[in-house]
Amino acid sequence: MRFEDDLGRALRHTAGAFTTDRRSLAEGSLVRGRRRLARRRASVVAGSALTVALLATAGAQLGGQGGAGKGRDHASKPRLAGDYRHFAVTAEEMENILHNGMNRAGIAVARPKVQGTGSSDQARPATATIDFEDGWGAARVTLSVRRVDPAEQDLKKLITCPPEKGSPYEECTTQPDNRAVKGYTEAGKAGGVKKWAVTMLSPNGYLIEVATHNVPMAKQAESALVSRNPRMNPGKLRSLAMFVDGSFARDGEPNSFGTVVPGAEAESGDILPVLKALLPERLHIHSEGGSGAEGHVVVIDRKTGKRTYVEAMRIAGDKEFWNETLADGTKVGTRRLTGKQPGVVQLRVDALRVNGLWISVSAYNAPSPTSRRSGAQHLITEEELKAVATSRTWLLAR
Amino acid sequence: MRRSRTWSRTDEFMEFAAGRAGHLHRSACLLTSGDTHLAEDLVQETLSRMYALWGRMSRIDNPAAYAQTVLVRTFLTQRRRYSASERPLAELPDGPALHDGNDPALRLALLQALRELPPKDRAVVVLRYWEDRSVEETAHALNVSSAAVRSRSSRALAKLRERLGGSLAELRTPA
Repeated sequence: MRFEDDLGRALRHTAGAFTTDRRSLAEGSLVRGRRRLARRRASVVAGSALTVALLATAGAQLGGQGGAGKGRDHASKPRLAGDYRHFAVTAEEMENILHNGMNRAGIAVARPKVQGTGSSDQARPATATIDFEDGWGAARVTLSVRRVDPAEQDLKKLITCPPEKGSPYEECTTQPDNRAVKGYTEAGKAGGVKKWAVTMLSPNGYLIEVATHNVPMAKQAESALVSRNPRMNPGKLRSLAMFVDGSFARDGEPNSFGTVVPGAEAESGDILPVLKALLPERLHIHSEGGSGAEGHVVVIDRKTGKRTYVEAMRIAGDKEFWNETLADGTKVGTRRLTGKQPGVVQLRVDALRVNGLWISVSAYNAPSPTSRRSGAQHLITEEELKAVATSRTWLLAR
Repeated sequence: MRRSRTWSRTDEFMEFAAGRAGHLHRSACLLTSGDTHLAEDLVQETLSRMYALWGRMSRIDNPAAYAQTVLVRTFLTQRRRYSASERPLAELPDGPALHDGNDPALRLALLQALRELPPKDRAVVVLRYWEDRSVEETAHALNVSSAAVRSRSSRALAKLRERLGGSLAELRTPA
């Protein structure tokens, strides 16, 4: 028998001999967990108070290092989409978003060191930095996210390349979807610090910048001669920026799709994990299922036992029934259809994006599309269903 | 309404925590090489983090695996924090509460050998050979590359083989 097999067996025997009072461990954890939440809430309040004091002097420069907003209040009052004053992301969530985005963009990362700062203040960007080995040497990628009102005119210059004459950039391309890719070499440094950056204005109200440098740290830029180019090309940076965009919801907070602990994320491209990430938090998921291009959940009201079937799918083409067009060009169609069983109503919201991605989300006031009615009303409202269908997170599910 | 939501959240969490505490505790005992007090602290810390995330837990595909990853990461973070004051001891600081006395010699020798491994190597051993995770899954859980897991695993196995005399089977006390 191999040594590894012996070891596995010995570990199982040894571990199996340890016993504990599981109930008291669970109760102790609950007490600690409540304290942890209370501390987070207190830090948000303290952060807000500090913010008021700092607002007079704080610059709103993208890429600045704000103080770490280490927590946020999940139980705060409901926020409306379009309230661009609310922003709450923790340092750990920023680190996870950057790390997951790198994985999703297919960047080979060895020995990563990730560091982030959170923010609970609209005027202060949240940031994250990852230093890693890319196979040719050390590299760094930085991320900065600031909460903004996308209608602000001043933001346009950040996503529009200046005239070539007198431009600080070696290269700059203004792209559709409110995005600019900039490449430049900072003069005056030994060897030149080369940087590629993608700046993006999300319709959800975030100014996102991801950048890669050809040096791991600013200190090294002063001394080390670096001739190689940044390894992460603009296409991959753009993909990373899209991931960050899809990781933040309209209400000013990140969703679980982007902030999941790296390594625990779902298979990319699947519909179900995105659907679960986008459902309102108040809903309790009773069961779930789906294939790659379709996902569904059954949500339940635990008091009444009423259930609602919610499904999402990516469709290639269907009869078009658009009755609204959003500011970013997305066409939205909402319908109420009669189900197969008496009293069952299918609420259907479709969203067709300018890039051709068509997502259809439906809810039935029944445990499945062919089941008998379970309650007069759906557990999810039409507005909530529309928010799910039009979320930019779907752009990551293709 | 608010009271009902709070109760529901607590209820669900307690069900999960009580269900997973045993397995997490056994993992933690291996990670701490038999320090049961530290292991209980580690489990409570892990589950308290899970509680803080509980509002979003229904969106995580495998909460049990997620908790296991949080446990290992919390262990490594605590080890880093306390590493400056940590000193290896000849004896285990706290005798493990072993209730099954079939082969105590093996277990004590194994725990002592685990204790002599660096924390990250110990985490690799626990994830690979107790949790039966693949190299890639272990790499994800520890935030390192697959090559680093292979290298740590190989180094740890060599040390354990050297320390345990090449065959764990021989250490078993005859029944």
